[in-house]
Amino acid sequence: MEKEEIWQSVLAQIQLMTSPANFATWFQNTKISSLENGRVVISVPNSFVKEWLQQKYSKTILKILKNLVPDIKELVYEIEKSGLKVVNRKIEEVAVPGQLTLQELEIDKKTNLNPKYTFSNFVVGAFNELAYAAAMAVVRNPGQVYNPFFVYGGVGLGKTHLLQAIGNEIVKNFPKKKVRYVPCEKFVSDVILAIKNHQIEDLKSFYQNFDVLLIDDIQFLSGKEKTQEEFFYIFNTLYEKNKQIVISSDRPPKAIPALTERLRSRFEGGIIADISQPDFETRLAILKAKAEEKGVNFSDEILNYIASNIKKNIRELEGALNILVTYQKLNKKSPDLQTVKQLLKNLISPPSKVSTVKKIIKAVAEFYEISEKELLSNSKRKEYVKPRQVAMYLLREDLKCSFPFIGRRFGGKDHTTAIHAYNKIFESLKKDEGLVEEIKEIRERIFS
Amino acid sequence: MKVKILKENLLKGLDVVTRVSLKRVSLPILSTCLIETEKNFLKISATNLESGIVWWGLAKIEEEGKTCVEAKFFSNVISNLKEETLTLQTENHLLKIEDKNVSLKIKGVSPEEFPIIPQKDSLERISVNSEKLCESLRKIIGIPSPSLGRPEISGILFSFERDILRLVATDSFRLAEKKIRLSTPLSKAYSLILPQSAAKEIIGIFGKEESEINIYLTPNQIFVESLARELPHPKILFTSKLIEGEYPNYQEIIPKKFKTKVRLGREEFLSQIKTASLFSGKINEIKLNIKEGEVEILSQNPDYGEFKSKIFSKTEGEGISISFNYKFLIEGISSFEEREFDFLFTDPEGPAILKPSEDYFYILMPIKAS
Repeated sequence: MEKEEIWQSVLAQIQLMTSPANFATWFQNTKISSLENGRVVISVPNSFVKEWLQQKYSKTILKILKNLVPDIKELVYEIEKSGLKVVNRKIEEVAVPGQLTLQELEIDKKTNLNPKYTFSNFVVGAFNELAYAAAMAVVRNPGQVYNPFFVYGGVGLGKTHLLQAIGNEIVKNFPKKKVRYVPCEKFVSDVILAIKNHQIEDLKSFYQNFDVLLIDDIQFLSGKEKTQEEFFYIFNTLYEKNKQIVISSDRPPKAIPALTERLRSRFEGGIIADISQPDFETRLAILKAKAEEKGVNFSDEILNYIASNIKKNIRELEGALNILVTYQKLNKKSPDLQTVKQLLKNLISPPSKVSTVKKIIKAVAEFYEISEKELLSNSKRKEYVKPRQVAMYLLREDLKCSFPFIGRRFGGKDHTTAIHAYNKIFESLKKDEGLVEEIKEIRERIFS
Repeated sequence: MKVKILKENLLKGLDVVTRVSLKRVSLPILSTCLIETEKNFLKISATNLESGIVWWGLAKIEEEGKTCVEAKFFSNVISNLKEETLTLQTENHLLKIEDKNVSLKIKGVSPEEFPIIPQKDSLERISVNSEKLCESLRKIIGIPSPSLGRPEISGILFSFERDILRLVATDSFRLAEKKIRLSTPLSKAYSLILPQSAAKEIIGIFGKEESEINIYLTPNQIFVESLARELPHPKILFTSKLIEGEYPNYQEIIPKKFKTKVRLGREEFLSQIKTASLFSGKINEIKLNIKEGEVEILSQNPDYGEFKSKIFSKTEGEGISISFNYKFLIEGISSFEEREFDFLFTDPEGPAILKPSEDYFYILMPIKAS
């Protein structure tokens, strides 16, 4: 006889001896969780039921059980652990439209994955199909093909989504596999903390335990030698045990500055896939998918307008959609195209490709996290000198400003100072890859 | 059973245990309390099968015994009696009180039917000051929202680590953490999620007088016990089931870097927010504009008009413009005792944190500016 059947038959007999209310109170959600070597484990929902059954019903239950299965000798009760877990979690409507939530609360503590990122809401197009195909191969056979899987692409194009979806899918397909998602920044700070507390061995063994390790934004390893060393160690251990490693970055391994050669070659050892910018059709498909997810409907005209005006960044597409959703909830009607244009004015400003003196100074100051005042000051402090030289270089290089003008702009300096700064950066750019990246990013900021 | 007990004492006990006894339930025994003798004490217990309370009161025990009577009813009867000392007697399940002036008999039920309240095993004892615990719980008790469909955040996280107890509550829009220092460091770290209702009971039962209370933990239950003032014997033992599941890793939420910081006076800010709230629209939005040296509070409503006020205060960092649900702001600030607090911002769409002291913070998510 099956366990379920045995327990049903016990319950059937007990039902005859107790009042319906008693029966419902004490026997609801009870079951036999195991039956081995004459030992029966009965799982109960809480401590009250455990105490009660133990003290009041044990004899009766044992007697009935013995009649059914003669070799039963022992009866044990245990409180069911999963009694309260809700499997199908409903995401409730936010009471107030526009009220933002603490997203991190959704994150699964064991895997550090956010369940909202799945393949079902991942839009595939020409821009990411290679990455997607590799991801699918990885989730089918984690650790067996494409190891490591290195994916790179610009901001807001779905790298994190892809990584998290890989993690979530593997958890779903292989519940026993231990998956861990970690943003590289977090990994770096963990390493620093572990070094400080002399717990680096603990940290290593923590990461070596996983079957699938997903590291986001690996470019943060750049220049952090000690962390690279620890990561190299962890990487090798996992790799040798055929554990899947998935890495994302905003640029290919070759372009990550200050990365040790041995790590670079490891990263290039599996498959490298890039995510480029989505084309118009894909952007439209993404908008439609997101709108459906949010349960809203906008006319094709509006979606076309958004898709043709926001080109580089999927996150911005979603942002635009959110603005419209809020509008719709507040006003209980869909916005018309004119309203949409007004609402999205800030997101879709006509791309200004013009760079100005002010923009350059602002972007440089922001990039190096100093104030514009400090940038333009006469201070000789190291943290200001280099940004100042970079700014002078950009003014000369991009705007063709005259050296005397540049000098005057920076606290009335001599034109020779400006020339020196320009030459210094010009020369450094030839050998310092990090500086090349910095300048590239500052330029991106100027034009964004 | 024949027991002599002070009426005031008995009433106190009944007050406590009737907190958990239920009215009209499918299982009538759950609306009763179990009255029994135990050495020199009268012991009264009640339970609703999620939590249970046991109370002990010194009494002159002349004859041992026990019975079960309807708890609320019994408590009403006792509170109306004039006598200072009561003599309780049982005859079968009948509970009798006979004095010079009164004679009453209350119908009882068999005490054998009464549920068994789980017993605390001998585990590490955690000692906490009752006032500190209850005050801290009061600050955050209103935050969890049971309708979220996520049991693990419908309760309050108790996280014990060495000599610190952290109490955490969230409803996914805001999250508060209160730290309590324990007088004796613990040998291990423990963490549990207490149902909100049980936390309310703890406040109700132990919040009235200041004393050291003991907490004991088992994998499925929490026990909170206060001792009698006069002698080393438990006075009240409260137990509750725990919520299964893992509390989210809330430390990740706490912003580490800030763009803007303002120091505000609690009373002044609160009263301005309250006035502003009268003008706010149906999404409860009020807007804060932080500029150098001042905080501007704005709200408007097409039906009533608009409101604008200014508070001069110490500010650090960049200016920011950010909107909040005023209800969440008021609830958070009302839980502060300190006269001033720090208000720190990360981004118009990122978490903001209100911090009256090192031991307490309240994180709040803004409303997307419309």
